[in-house]
Amino acid sequence: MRCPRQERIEQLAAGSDEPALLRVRAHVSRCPDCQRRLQLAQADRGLLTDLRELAESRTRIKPLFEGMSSTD
Amino acid sequence: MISQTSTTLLAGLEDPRNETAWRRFYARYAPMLLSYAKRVGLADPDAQDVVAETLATFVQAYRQGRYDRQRARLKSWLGGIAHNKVRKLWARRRTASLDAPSAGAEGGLLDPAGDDRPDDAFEREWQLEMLSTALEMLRKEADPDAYQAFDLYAMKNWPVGKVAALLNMSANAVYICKSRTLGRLREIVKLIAAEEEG
Repeated sequence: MRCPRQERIEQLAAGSDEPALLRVRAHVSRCPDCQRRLQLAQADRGLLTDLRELAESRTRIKPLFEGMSSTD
Repeated sequence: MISQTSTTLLAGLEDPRNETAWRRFYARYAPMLLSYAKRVGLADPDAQDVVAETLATFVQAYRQGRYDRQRARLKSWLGGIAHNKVRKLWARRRTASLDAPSAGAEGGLLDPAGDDRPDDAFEREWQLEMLSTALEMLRKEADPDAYQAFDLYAMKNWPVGKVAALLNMSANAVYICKSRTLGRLREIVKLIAAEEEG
């Protein structure tokens, strides 16, 4: 089997248990390049969690920040 | 390549007439300080007071030459001041009122440890602030389509098919845009962190 497309790697990283991914999973377990791609995709999910926390945090404080600006 | 580092921001603050530098410093650090104050449980007015007092103390001390970058990083110094302001406010609340704590929506105020170092909440906000700076830099340098694919799919949680259709690219290309954009973001964060350390 050829190295899977990024889409498949992302699905694995997301923990999908689709039967269609069985062969992909088997390939990844034997392919160092794909293992690295999977690790990166999993790390990306962590970074995305941080980015979403950032967006949520800044959205939450935005009205306060604008209030501060107008009084300074 | 880093356009507005803490170094350049601080250099501008040395001149009291440099309003641009002050505005940039404020724009960079006030939101994170406000988020920090909220994170430790302060209600809105108290959180705003902590931000204003922290920045005022910082700038005054900086202009008096009391900040030695060789001895302390900006994070430690600013975080220490902010932590101290929260601690003092917490102490005032304790002595002023037993039945009307100024707690945020998350519950009671955290009781910061009795020292002047940044606490965990500040460390977290500092990390997020570095990420925010990196994201801003990334937005300026990235290919617009690739960035939009990343933004819609990864940040705004659009279905991949919808992003692909909008931008006339394959679903796989959307995944690749996301992966490369995050990889580059990670590199920029490292650069900023290295500069902050330096």
